[in-house]
Amino acid sequence: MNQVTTAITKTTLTEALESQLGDPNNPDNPLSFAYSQKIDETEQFPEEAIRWLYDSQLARHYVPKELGGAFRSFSELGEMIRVLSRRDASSAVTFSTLFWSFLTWTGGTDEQKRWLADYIMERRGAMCLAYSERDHGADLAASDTIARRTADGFEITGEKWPINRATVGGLCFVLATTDPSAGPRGLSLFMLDKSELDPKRYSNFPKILTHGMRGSDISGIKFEHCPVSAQSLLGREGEGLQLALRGFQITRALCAAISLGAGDTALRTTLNFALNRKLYDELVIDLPHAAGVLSDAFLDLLICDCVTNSGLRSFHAVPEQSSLWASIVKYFVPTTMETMIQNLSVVLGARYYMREEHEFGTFQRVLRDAAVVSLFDGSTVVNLHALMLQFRHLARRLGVRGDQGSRLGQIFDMNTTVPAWKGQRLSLVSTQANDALEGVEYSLERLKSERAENTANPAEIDRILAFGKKLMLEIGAHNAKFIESEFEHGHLQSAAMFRAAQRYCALHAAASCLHAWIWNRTNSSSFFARGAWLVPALARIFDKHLGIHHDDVIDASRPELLQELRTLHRDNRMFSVSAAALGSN
Amino acid sequence: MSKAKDLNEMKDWLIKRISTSLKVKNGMDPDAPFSKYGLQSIDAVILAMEIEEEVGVELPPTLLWEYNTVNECASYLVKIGSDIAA
Repeated sequence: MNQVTTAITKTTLTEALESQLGDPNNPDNPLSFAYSQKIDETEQFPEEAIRWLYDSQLARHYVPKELGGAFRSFSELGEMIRVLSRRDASSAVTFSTLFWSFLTWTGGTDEQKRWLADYIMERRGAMCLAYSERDHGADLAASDTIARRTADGFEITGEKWPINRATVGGLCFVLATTDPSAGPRGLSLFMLDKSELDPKRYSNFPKILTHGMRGSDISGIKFEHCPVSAQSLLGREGEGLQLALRGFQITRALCAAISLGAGDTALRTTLNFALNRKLYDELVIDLPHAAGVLSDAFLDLLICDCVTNSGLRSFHAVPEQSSLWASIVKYFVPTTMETMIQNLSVVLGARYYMREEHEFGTFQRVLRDAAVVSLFDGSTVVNLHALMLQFRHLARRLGVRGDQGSRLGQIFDMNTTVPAWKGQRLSLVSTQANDALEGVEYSLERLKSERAENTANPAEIDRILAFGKKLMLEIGAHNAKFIESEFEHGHLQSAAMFRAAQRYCALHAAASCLHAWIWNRTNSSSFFARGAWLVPALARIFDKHLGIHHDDVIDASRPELLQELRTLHRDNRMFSVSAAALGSN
Repeated sequence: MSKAKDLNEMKDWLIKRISTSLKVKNGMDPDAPFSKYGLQSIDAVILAMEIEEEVGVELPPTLLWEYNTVNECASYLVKIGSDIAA
């Protein structure tokens, strides 16, 4: 089994790529802010950026090692996407349609896998995911696109819209109905090489003008009795929905990396203003309101980093639970980052509204670009719905814990190796309880025993243990509510169920922060490992999402948080758990 | 664990079991797809897991996708010799 190690201070890929790309404020660098401004203003496809990314062999990171690529772990792939997104989210999203290749790595034949690996790495192939339809949106099972069996394959008729890279890309993953009477088993997935299709039997819809990601090719594709080969079927006939839902688990978690990159840039460009601009004889950062917003933003980034990193590791460590982790990450991280960016706009003031001037008008572009992440690849509503359906069944599985300590270590200890990814282990619904929530007791016991043995700051540990106890009570209350609940089905769920799902995600986020610190605090001497961020982070989650207020705790922590934020900014390091060094030339 | 059910007993049990979960009030047509009663994709997988807890054998998570009506599902469950533990 291949093993991958990621240490808390080891950010090889991030730092190497940052060094290669340099300072995004330098217009001469690839994917610079000036370039990003140009493609946004002119609504041009980011051809130059995409060419640079292929030239730099970065497409290999989407292809598994056994197929000649460089993919080792989802954490690494997330690191790369975050670095690209902090420069230009539009280019990052355009390039990252490559993550749909995981459909083939999961469900394809060996021949299909080899073909796709070659297509991506040797022929610079790119792809789109053609699931959505104008009349059905997220309701995939209602597809009007029909794939009819023929003597030597299938014939596809239907329209897919709106689709990212439907026009500028050679490959198309199409979900179509092969048996209209078979319900969820009536859908099949096809991997179509457009160069092999009859150009008279398919056409593209024009690029759609969008609020953000304005350089992207958001368009559509129409098939009219288009013959496709039998070999283009991915998985077995009737397995399309199953494969599609498993594929979404992967891409939903990776989407969080796009939001994290955008969040870093929004905070950095705001700090570049707040640390230089004087108002009322004070630097903006020293004004209490601005200091509050900036320190809250820093906490949000650290919280979301803990949620994303463990979510990405969960695919290797507990793929049986990925349907939970992916939906939580996809709901929590983009919505938190989008709100955070909106909040930061107040500190930047008038400059937030300008499409030029302060750093090439980056802030307003990030604000618009980032807003799409909570929408695509399963919207906020879709993800919350996928979670709420599982609450009763999860509450009934609490007793089965197995080797929880080993699983928690694989998910959260960044010095622990994660197993190689096995796509076939992804499950449509979780067959296990959520280890982040049900493992809080285990991690707190570990912390207690460490405190008893030796610790530098017992009072801080006691505060963390007290928050941990409150978290366990809240998790217990959630489970108690659902263990005796009735089976819920369908899409007509109540507003109260959506609120319960939002709270569930917040509980998972708090638990992820707690585990991340407990399992890594002795790994390094970093700000993250010292732990001064953890109590305010937990207090912020409790305050924002659970209605349990700890303003005093957060306010007392602000000077230390701001000090660290200034240090990271001065040293040009990422606002993240790893505090990776950023490109500077 | 009770004795193995014959086909008619299994149909009756399934209609009762699924009607309760889906809150079907006016009876189920044993030949109608489950989607007619509001069952979608993911919730069908969860219901299959609940049914698995109540019969004596491991079931595919997509049981209710593949055997999309009471009649199809009952035939499958009888064929694999499942008991009803509930």
